[in-house]
Amino acid sequence: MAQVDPASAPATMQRIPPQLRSLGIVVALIVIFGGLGSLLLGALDVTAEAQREGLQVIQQTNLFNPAQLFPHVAHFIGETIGVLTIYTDKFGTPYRIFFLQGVGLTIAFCFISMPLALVMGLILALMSRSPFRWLRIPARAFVEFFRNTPLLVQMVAIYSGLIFLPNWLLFAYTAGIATLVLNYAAYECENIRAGIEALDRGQTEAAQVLGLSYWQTLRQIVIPQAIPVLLPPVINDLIYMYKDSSILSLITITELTAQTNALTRLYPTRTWQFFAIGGAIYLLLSIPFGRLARVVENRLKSTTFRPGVDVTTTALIILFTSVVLGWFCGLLVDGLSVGNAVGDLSHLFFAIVLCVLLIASMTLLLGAITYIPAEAWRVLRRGRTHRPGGGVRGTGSPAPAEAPIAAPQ
Amino acid sequence: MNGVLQALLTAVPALLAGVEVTVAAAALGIVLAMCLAIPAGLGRISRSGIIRSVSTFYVEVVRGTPLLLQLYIWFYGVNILLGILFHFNIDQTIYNMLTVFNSNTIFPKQGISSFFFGVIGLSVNYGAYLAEVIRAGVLAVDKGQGEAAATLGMSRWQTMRLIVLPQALRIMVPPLTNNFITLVQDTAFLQVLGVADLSLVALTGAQVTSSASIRWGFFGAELVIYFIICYSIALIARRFETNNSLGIAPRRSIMGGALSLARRPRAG
Repeated sequence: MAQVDPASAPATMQRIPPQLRSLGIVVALIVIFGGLGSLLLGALDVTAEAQREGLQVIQQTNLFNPAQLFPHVAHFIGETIGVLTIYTDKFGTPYRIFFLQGVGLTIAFCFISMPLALVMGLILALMSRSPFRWLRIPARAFVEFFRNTPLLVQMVAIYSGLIFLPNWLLFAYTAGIATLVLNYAAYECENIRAGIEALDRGQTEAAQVLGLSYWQTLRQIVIPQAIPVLLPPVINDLIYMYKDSSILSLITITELTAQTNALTRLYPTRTWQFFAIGGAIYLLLSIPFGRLARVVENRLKSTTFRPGVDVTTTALIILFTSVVLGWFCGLLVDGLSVGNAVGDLSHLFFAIVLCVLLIASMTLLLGAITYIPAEAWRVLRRGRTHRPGGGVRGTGSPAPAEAPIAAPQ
Repeated sequence: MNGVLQALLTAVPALLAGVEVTVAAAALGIVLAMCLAIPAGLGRISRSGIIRSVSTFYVEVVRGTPLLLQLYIWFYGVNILLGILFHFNIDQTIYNMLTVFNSNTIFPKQGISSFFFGVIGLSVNYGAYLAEVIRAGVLAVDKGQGEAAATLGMSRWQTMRLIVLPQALRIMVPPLTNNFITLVQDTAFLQVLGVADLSLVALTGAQVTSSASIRWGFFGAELVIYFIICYSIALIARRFETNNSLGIAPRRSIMGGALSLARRPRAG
């Protein structure tokens, strides 16, 4: 039975250790790309030669002829290893430098944006759970708007739409971080809200009885218990952000996708090597994170989470460390020097400033657009509540009894 | 303000054409992605090791790499490879097919290869995500259901078709619609291949001017259109979710199950 017996399904999978499985996926990827790429390579070499000679040569490669295929695949794997190690472009820079720079920037953007998004998401989540409508509605509007419009369009709108901002505040780096933070803040807000709502309400009530203030409750009761619930979706979102950061290549940031694509265009005879290596790097970083999310989820499910440390402080330290790591990755890409360090730090500062500015202004704008009509509607409805039997939601008066459901025939 | 309105009004036909392309890409993408996702999702829980590892490979590789890189691979890699190996030109092929039907005048001037490979890349990408949804949905159905069906003497295929899938479909509705919403959003990625969808039309409209207000007019209009499309899908999905808990009348087939989801349940 295909569907009713999940226990028997992974029986053969159990025997292979998971590390080996990821490795197998990468090897299979390289071999499959090798098959395609070697064919392209052979064909391209011949066509390039023919074009140089001014000839029209029709290259016929037989896919099913091992004598043609295996040498091509071997050649391809050799070329891939060469690209990874010693091959250089026409200016003498090894190809591996481009890939390393790309990975560095990708990681830098993720590690900087995720903590910021979490902090902003926490603020939005608290706003959307507050008893005041003028806080709740703007937060909801922000979240719904940013979850329902494309990330790419948001990025382009921020980067090339806000041209009235001075160019020391808005450039590719800050615009990229601001886009990722704004979009992911909306998603993290939903995650955090779900995490907080999963808590027993008795916890906050007990804290109130004990006389803890709002911030004390949050810091000592709510957040420490919400974090274990929150961890798996946040790690998942980190993987998503890791992949989504590829769109930053469209605003001139030279991260992994941009480097891969540029190399492909510049040196077309090695197209498939570059694609295979770029894809493999993404896989090598995202599959372990996916496994980590699953392990964390299982461990938190199986045992009670009884930490011996102050969870909130630890979480803050981890977030701060992540930002510092991101900054350091960016620094490694730019080159280790004091000038670069200070410059990157100032870029980071302006990125945070831009994020805060944009979130505040977008919340205000969207909040005004939605809050004023909602308030007006409420006032209008309230005027009608004096009609007999006209109880209305949200005004405190009891709702009228629903018409009894017709009994089934 | 006047200038913004004027610029937007002159661009309305282009924007509408862009919306058409976006909706077409999204609809095609959803259909093709589901066609890929059902075999891949069921393959991931199949008994056969080969089928399982092939579909796991597909799902893991596609979910582990970004859509943008995949689109580049499809358009600048596979497209050119097919041309070199088999002299396959999708533009020429479709033009010839249209010629057979005496209607090649409808062939777009800028070619169709970017749209074709863009939609293929999009649906291959989302096929993997939807496969995970389908797998989770099928596994979430109570095991006893399948066992009961086996006791009644149903074959595996019958159990799947009549017992498990109709129940799994109800579990799958919320995550599926979430994925459809992100698919509609991700059609914006096709602009990197030069498909004149809504985002590219608005971007070109915005970038010919240096006036910040006209730029914001275009970006605002674009964002609002995307928001309307995606939020309406979300609202429809939310209605399905509330109906989901009410229970549906038993039907004979998956199609019947899907239809009864679309219908309002009777009271009582």
